[in-house]
Amino acid sequence: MTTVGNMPELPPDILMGIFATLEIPDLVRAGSVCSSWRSAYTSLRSLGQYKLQQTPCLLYTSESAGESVACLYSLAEKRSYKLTLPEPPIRTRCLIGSSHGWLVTVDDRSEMHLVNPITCEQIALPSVITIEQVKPIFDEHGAVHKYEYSWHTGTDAGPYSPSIFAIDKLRHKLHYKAFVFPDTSTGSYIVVLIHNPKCQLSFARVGDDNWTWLPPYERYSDCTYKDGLLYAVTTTGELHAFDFSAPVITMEMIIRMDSVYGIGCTY
Amino acid sequence: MATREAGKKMIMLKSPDGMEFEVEEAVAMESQTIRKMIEDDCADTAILIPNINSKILSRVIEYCNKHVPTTGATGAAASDTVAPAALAEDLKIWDAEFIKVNRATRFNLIQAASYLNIKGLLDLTSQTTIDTISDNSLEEIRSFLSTKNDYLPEEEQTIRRENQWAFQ
Repeated sequence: MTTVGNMPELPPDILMGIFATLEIPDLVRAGSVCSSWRSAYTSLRSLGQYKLQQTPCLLYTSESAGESVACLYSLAEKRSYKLTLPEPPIRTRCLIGSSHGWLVTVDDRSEMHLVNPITCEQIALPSVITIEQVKPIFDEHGAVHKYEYSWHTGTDAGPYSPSIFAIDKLRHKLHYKAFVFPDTSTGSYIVVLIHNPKCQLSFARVGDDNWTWLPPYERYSDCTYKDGLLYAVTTTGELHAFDFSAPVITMEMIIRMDSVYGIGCTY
Repeated sequence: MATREAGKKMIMLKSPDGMEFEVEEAVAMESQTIRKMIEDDCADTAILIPNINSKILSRVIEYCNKHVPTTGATGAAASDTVAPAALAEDLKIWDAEFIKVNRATRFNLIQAASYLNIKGLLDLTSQTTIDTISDNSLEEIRSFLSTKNDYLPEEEQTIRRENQWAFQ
């Protein structure tokens, strides 16, 4: 039994058991009480043993709170918290996905970040210019000031010659939806992006220098990830499984649709 | 102590400070740790409970006596004529009285409940700590639990800066 003065201290496993029942704001406060509580909090977080069924919170921004502030309304406590997030200002970004506590945002340079509003951690994702269809256009000082956007897919060159977009406009054309999945083999994350033209797939592991394109299919609508396999469903109802555990990613057709014409959206 | 009915198997629990407590096997088996020992035939007639002094052990036995699911024999409340809802209500009141102890005793009870694996007692003793943490400021938590803030001022500053939102 460890003691501080004459007072007994709760052992780490019991503390962790108690912490595992707490709502996130309470957990963060408890993790700051003293060093032994902090280490129990840190272990709990790294083991992912915190309460998984959290009472939902509403995340929003407002002009009055400020450009870099996200507000978190806690239904459990019936109060809101103001979270000051790293640059660029959260109100200037588009939100294209959220999972496992991370938001996927696109800033006004059309670049993507993962940001965790609770811990304020931020991870820059590979530059948008590493996406297959995007090329930078430099001004006379060597800075990117526009993007060239190609319409090609894995199967055709697309209907038009490449388009030119201002750096803050590309995001409205290119980015559609993003997902964050824990990568159990590395303890990191895989980010999967559905992007235009024609809702194709690209992905990046946290720490990668570039996005990896997954041609030739298109019209992806939704994704999930389990045991090294990425399952992606298309608007036409096809289901594809990508094996991320292999050195070279392979794709298996789980459900095929023979004709994609004239059947509309089935997912 | 209630009078024991004849034929009930008794177990002797010994605390490290040399006290012995004779309890019904059913009461002792409220503890999953002891139940396992008995089921594995590791318990003869006496079981030494390490780390738990006689003062705490007697309170634990008191809790188990109250919560053992038998009718009669263990106390006035556990009567056949009392409806289950009323019995549960009575237990709740009893629990609330039981847990009115100082912090040191409560922490010792949590540890005992954890070691002996008595879920009801662990939940009961932990709940006070959970209630203290919920909806209270850092200073209030520290003062309620008389937990020493062992951070250096600059460490405290860093922690507060990192999670500034939670301290509003």
